[in-house]
Amino acid sequence: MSAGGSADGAAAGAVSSTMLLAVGIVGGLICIYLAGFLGEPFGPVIAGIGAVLAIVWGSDAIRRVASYGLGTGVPSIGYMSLSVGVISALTGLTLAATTLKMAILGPVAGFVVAVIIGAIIAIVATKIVGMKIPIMIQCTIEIAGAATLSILGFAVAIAGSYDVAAIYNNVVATGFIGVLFIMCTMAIQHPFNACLGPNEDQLRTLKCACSTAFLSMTLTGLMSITTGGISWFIVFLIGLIGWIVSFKSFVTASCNDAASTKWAGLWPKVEE
Amino acid sequence: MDPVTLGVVALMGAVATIGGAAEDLESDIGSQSNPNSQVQLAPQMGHLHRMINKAASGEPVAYGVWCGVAGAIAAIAINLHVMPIVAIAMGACVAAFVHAIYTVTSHMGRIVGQSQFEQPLFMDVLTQSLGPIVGHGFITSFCIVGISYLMTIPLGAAKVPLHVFPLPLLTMLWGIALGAIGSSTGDVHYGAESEYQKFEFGGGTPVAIQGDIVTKAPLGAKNSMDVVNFCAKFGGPLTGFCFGLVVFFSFWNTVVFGVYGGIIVGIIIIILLIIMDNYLEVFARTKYGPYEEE
Repeated sequence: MSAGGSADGAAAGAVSSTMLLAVGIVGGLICIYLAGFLGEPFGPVIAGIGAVLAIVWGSDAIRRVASYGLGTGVPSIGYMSLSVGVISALTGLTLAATTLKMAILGPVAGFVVAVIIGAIIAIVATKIVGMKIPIMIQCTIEIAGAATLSILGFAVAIAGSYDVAAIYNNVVATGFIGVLFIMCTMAIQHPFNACLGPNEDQLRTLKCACSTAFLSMTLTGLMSITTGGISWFIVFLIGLIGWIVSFKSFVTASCNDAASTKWAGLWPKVEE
Repeated sequence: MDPVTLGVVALMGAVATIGGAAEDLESDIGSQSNPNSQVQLAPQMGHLHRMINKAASGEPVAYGVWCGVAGAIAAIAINLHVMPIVAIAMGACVAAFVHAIYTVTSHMGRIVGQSQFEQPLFMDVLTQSLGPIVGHGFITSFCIVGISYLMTIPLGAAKVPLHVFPLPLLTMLWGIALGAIGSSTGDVHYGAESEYQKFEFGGGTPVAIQGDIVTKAPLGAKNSMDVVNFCAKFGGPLTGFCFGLVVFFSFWNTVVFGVYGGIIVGIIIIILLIIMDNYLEVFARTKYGPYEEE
């Protein structure tokens, strides 16, 4: 059994991946659009929740592809997909606002660009580089899509709308886009990377994913102090509450699933 | 050449040295980067242990996050007219908090992922090591945000900053750079030497021995504090020295010799370093280690 292998076979889990995919795409996009319509003060928090949904979906996709024994490649595929996410999000918003002259298509356009770039990268990885992972194409597309929606969600939470000028002024020019990039990379790849091993369990990994996603939302709340009015505090507060609940459930699940939980002493004697 | 700018570059080099040393020692406590895969495999090899397994991705991504978050919070606080040094400390505090959370989730997740081999989840190991990990992380993010801030303020007679990027972007990029250096330079002197002390020096860690770590200390169980004590003498300072030189030589040559002169001097420095490194490695391999040609 490799260190990256899952005991119950690749991709098996209690929560259906199709459901997570649907919640990630539909929930993420609806939240981003709703945030645009609602505006201050409740728009940003809904955009943040959309990003959380996308991150949970993305980490499940990472889990499925990395169960084939990616090992140290888990952070790498996260890194790569989030760079696709940043490029797609900005390209989609700009294309919709300038070429298509329909700013409302921005988030969907970003998602479509991510799917296209993700597919090209996955085809290069399987056909040219020769990686033998059967679900590589589907999962790379999924992770790139989740990355785009998470970046877009948090960017809308900071800027207050998906208007391209607002996002360039408040997220790109201030340098927060770099922080969003690396923070979402961590949030999406960390859950499976942290939980991998023969006794990895999908529910525990998803609890960890909720915890990292809400932590990122809390930090996004702090980052929107100067741009948003009172809305920064709502994003911060909801993120913090979500983080406390999910982190607590992750720690409880870990303590229950451990071979034994001890506060002192040596390990038990086992036959080699 | 402007003496004030040159002084700031020297200060940046010194601060980066401290930050680099703290970063490497932090990753040694957490068995991060290369050693964590070794700690990860130990229970499967029949070696139950009391080590920390902080698998918060590789060091570059991890330090990109801590330093990026610290830089973002510091930039906001500076925007709100907080004194810069206090703002940087505030940013580093938030980053330390995030660091602690990721440490807890990765250690617990990885240990529980090995539960079929009867590896216990030692909570005292986690609580004892969390302070040193977060403390070193705080020093590192403080130093990185500090040097990045120095790059963004107008300097000298011409009143131009050393770099045009906004603070959060710079801190993220320098965090990734530091993580990469801590991972490549620090790993040579890192915990593997300590974790694999029963194997002959210079043999590296081939796949056949991975996970076959030493789990007992002279007194009781070996823990992550023993590893960092071992690394604090050479590994940490060496990594700090390397990162300090990288930061210093990123700016010193252009500040002193101008843009084009700086590029030529930079190329000369790189050629000198390649010759020196080659000499050092050939010398070390012929004098020590099992790589002699029969």
